[in-house]
Amino acid sequence: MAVEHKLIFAGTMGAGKTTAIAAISEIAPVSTEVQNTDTQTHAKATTTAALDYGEVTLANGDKLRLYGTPGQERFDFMWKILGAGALGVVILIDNSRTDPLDDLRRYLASFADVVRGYRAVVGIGHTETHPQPDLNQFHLLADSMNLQVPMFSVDVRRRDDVLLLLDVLFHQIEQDVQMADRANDLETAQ
Amino acid sequence: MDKHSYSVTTVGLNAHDETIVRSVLNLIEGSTRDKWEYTESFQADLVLCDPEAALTRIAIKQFQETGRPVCVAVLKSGQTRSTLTHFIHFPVRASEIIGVLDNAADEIEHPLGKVDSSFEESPQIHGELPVPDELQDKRTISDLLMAFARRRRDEKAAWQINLDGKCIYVFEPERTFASSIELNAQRLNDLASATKAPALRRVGGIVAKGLRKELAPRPIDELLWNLGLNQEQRALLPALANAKQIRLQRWPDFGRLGARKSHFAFAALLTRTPQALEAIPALTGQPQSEVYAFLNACALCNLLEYTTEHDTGGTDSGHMIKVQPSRWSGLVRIMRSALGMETRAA
Repeated sequence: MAVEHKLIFAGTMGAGKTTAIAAISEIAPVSTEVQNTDTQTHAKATTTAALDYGEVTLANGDKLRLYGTPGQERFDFMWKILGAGALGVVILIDNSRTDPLDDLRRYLASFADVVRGYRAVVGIGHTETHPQPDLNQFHLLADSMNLQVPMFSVDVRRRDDVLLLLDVLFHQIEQDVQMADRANDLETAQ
Repeated sequence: MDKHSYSVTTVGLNAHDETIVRSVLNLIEGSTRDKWEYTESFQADLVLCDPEAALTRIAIKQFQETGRPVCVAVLKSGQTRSTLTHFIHFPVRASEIIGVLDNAADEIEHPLGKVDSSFEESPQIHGELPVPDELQDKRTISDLLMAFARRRRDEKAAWQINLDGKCIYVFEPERTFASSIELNAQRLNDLASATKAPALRRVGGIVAKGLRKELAPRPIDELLWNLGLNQEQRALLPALANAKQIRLQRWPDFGRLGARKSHFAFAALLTRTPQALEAIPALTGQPQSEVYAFLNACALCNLLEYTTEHDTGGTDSGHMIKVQPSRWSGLVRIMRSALGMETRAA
């Protein structure tokens, strides 16, 4: 029977969630959009109200379902709901926003369990045009929250950058597999 | 009559043309009135330049302000010498270059244009400002770049690092670098394995401004990363020679630095728990040379933690994860395939 796997793309409005999903989805992403009521912080005409959806069909018949969380804070109750049981979470940060460190802090707090389980990765966009805060400051923020998460400068308009983020997640999963194998071998040997 | 010694460099020529020009300079050694020595430093006495190159504009501007360097256009078919008064034609002939060097030597000794002597005497232009303590006595270019990476300055400054005639420019407070020559793998290897200590000097305002504008500086850690990856014979850096347990503080920024396939496996392993150095190749299925290159790059970018004693409790043991190994490893392979990513090497 085909199994469904879930991958979450989280981030503020305009961080590139829809773009990232579109880069890898085999279907045109489905977006539920409404008028952007927060034009003071972002000039987009529309924003995702509930979520973006894309999918990839795997060779064994399983489905990889891609969900983009709504960016506006009033929908943040959905983040944890969507994150439950997910393969991993890709957190996208827009470094051109007023306080990207605070943005990351909120997402790390919401997905702390996922981060501790080595199932999260952070992509920070617009670093070429907005080099501050730099990556070191983002890492220091995570350290202050007793969390460690891979973070990278990316441009999600480039498919390779989206694949980089997913490849890191996959390597984290493979690392778990290898560590479990070694632990099992150790147990067997004892 | 005593021979004077002058330095000559090329600007804006492609690698092939530069090689030819340098060959001719070697050929005519002893035939010119004065002694000419080739350098890769931008601040030579004379530059042989492509009149259309961006860096030539910087050289001309500096000449107009300070009387140095004398600029000689190397003209190919269809090119004009622009504002340059000295020129030779490509393909370069020995007789032509001897003539232009002898004439240029006169101009170096007796500048035709107005030379602002106060500018000339300013230590800021000649780089005679003292080098700060934390930048002194560095044995390798990597050590010097790491010192720049650690410095926190608000004031603008530009520096030239000269290593065997190869020049790297560093800019503060941005902590960026630029090079007027392409830093390919061979050049990086040469820089990383040089035995001579690098020479450091301050770069004057006009040149610094021009270099910042024309050379598109990049963050210093990008150069440190590539120096680390291109150490000669992939040997481990001396600082890591006694390392027993190694851990990575954080994943390197692969989005900006780039990454080989093996780097993902190294980072995933070493960010979890400290590992014995000798165990890493077997744990990742990668050759020792790849391990060392990655560790060198991480060390130069200050991403590594290591101990020189074995920590019996620190290695990867007893970490129990409730995972169904066969299910997940197969699934990751299938997902990579569906996304068009390379499958992980076994």
